[in-house]
Amino acid sequence: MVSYIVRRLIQMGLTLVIISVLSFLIVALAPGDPFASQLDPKAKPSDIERQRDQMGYDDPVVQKYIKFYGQFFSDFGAIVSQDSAHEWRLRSARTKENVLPTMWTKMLITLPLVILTTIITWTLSFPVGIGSALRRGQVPDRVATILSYALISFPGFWLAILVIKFVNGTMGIPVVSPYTLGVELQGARSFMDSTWHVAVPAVIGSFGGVAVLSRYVKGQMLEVMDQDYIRTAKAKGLDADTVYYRHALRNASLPFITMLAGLLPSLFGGSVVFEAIYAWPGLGRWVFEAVLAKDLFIVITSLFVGSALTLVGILISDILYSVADPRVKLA
Amino acid sequence: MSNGTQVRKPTSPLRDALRLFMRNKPAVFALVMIVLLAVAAASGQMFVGKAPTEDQLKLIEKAEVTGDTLDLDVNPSAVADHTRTELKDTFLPPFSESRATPGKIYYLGTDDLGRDVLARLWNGSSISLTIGFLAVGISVLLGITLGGIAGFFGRSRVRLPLLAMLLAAAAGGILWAAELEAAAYPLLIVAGGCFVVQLVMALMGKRFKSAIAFGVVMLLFVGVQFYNRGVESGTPEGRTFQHASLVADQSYELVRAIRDLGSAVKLIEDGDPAAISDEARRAAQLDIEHRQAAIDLLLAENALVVHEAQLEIVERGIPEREQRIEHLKSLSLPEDVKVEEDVLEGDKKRLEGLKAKTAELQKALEAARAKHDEAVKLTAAEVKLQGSNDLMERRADLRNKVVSKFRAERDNRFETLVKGKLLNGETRYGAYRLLRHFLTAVLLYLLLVVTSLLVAADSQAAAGESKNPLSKLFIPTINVDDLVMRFTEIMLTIPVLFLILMVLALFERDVYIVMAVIGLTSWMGTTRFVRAEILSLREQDFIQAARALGVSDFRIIWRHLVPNAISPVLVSATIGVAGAVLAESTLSFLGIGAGPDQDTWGKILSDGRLFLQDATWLTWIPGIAILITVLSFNLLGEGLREAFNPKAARPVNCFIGGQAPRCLSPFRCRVAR
Repeated sequence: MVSYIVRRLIQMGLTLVIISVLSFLIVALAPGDPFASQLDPKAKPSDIERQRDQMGYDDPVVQKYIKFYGQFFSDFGAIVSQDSAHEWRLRSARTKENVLPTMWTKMLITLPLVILTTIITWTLSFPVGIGSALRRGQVPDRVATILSYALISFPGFWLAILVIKFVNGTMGIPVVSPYTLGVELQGARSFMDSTWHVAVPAVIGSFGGVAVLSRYVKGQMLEVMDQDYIRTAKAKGLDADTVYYRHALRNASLPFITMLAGLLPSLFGGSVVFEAIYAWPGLGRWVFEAVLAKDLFIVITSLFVGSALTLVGILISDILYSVADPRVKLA
Repeated sequence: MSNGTQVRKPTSPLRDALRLFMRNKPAVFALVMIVLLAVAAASGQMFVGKAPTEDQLKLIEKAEVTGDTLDLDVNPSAVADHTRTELKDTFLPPFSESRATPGKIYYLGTDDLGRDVLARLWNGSSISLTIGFLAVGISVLLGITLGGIAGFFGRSRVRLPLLAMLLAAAAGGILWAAELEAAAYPLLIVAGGCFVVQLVMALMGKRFKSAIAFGVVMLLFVGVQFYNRGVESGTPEGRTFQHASLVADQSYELVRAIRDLGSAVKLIEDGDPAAISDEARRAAQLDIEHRQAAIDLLLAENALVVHEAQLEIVERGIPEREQRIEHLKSLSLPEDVKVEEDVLEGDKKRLEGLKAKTAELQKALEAARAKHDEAVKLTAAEVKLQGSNDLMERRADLRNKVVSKFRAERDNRFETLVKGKLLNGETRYGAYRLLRHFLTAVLLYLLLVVTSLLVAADSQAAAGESKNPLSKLFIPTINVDDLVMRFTEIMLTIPVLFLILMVLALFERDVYIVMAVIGLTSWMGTTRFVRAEILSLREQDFIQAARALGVSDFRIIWRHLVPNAISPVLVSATIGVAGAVLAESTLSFLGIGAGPDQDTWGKILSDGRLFLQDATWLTWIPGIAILITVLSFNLLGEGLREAFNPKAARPVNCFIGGQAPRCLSPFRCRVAR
């Protein structure tokens, strides 16, 4: 086990190095200029020139690469060791903010939304999927099937806008942005306000996920219930619930452990579209704006961190799989 | 034949599938919808477009009589015009009559600019569907090719020259794209050497097909690079950049020369300062003047090129603006016309100024050239000094004086001339060239990888086993399978949305680039399941039998593997079209999808969302159009899956109905099956 993890970590390191080179090249060789979007009328060309020199923006690519990752890991080390005296080195070219601390704060804004979306998705899909597998071809199954087709085919942003129109316009509850702006609320009212602001985007955001995941659960359950050991269990005279939930579901849910791999990067990235519609100043929107302004360092940092989190998520899910399924040997 | 021994008609798998499909009513309905959509999309090009104005109609009539050819950007048979804005008709609900042209009915209403929603939708249908199909086409093609190679040739080993060639070409290409040419050339030479070795071995082993395939790809590689350079020098920006970078390079060299003061100081050092110090000074002075003249010449060239490019851009913009003024006049918008006319006036003045300036610069260039020529002659004549080799102290003294004076002059010149003028803006066209180099390099590199991996199965092993002394080089290294799947894993790990955003932010808004990017970032799933499919097929008895009969690899692939592996690909492609249409609409919503003159459905929908309260039809109509399209493709895909695979035993990478993918891990799954 330990040797497996060590080997995987080395592999992951190599993959990360390649990804870092590729993403750096795509971003760094791209045309465009973050300094061009500075709208300070007082800035003289010589000032901008000095900033460029300071950031090393015109350096050769290799030098830029080494410098960037040097700064990144020095800042990253400071975050890990909670070094408060650390002088942040990685800065945005456009807004001069420190990239990694800002990324952390933006992530904290996105986190509630993503966590709630994930919880709703996973807790809804399993009952729906199991239900339609057990009542295959009956009314509930058909309703679930039609609904999931409709939800998968609906343009998500349009649905979100329609829901805003309904909740905000018809019901009179403000839902855009993390909390109602410009109003001082106390106690329970404040709590309800935040709850509405998180719940509506989370529910809308989880629709697509529920539609997809519940179909997977259904397919998986159907496959497992065709197996011989289920027939044996039924023949033994076990009651239906024991057969379905103890024998069938436990085996059917194994593949979903691998799907957990996708959760970690999604916690990081959130959803650019939903953050744009619901005006959440979260990580997705921050990166999106940085991309549009060609803010080199923010974009590369987020590409790199996103890839690293994906790799870590995969490692964790593989280990979990081997824990959950004793037949699987990690080699 | 009696009733009892009725012979059952033999059925083909295809006919069975068709029968199953026809029973699935939603899927048949979806197929009908898709055919209707396709007809609408195809007829959109015929009936929807810029309708000709009355003047243009007269021109067309005249041309029909005289037989002239007209170059008008209009469609004479257009029954609906998606570009026509009629401000009197803004926000008309569906089925209302036009106020501008009585008798005309807007069946789906008009938008905020008075455009006919039906015409926009009709025109957009062709773009949206084309995007869906082409994006999926790219991803399926890449997926099948790479997956097929990994599955079928996976066990053959990549020999050392091939691996070295691929790695050296990748590293060299990246360095070259980063303009580190000095480091890139050795690597590219290594790659070329490996290529030649392989070509020679393939020819000696009489593997002519491989040799030809290999050679053709290499020729493409080199040819496209040259084409790229040709294109670059064709546009004004490209030319400006080429000259500017040339100027910058040469000026840097000169500045470096001034900085060293190599020749000037050496002259004094080597000569006898007492005897020839005046001459040495004069020679050094001449040397500096020479360099100064060269810098001046280059700067003059640079300035001229930049101004010529600006001139061309302004000149090209004027007729466009005049057209726009005509258009605004026809809409009777006097304020807008006035604004545009002011701008036009300004542009014309600027054009005059630029022309004068260009002429001036032309003269300055000629003067600088003359001065430079003269300086060259003078230096050539004067630098002929030799002397004895003694009197250390006096020499050092003199050298210090001369050097300090020269250094001050050089610093001054470096600051004011080179850093001040050259680096400020005018050389920054470089980035565009870098990106283009990078993208072509990536594309061609992929082609090279695919061809050489195909060749690897054929000629590499043969080369390794031949008795030729060169064959000692052909050491087996890693599996083809490992190579391809590692690449797939890396692509899977990069967050795709950020990548798409990044690439799209770099280009002009163009929906066909969106298509290419969606296609290029979504092939990994297809690769993985095509590989799995082929791995399981190639172990089956009928393949083994074919192999035992001595059937060739390519015949096995075409006759046995492709027909058996094609159905899941077809299913996932159908569902992929739905995904691509949705992805395009989402990107259009974020404002990075369609270009300004492209009406995709996603764009119409996101245009309409501003008027959600007042003009509901502007969002509901395109929204429902997208919904129906995506739903139809999803249902069709599901129907196909059930028809090809009645028991739904094999998972397909679709998200509806099928099973969950067994293994999402980008690393090779070591999970026991």
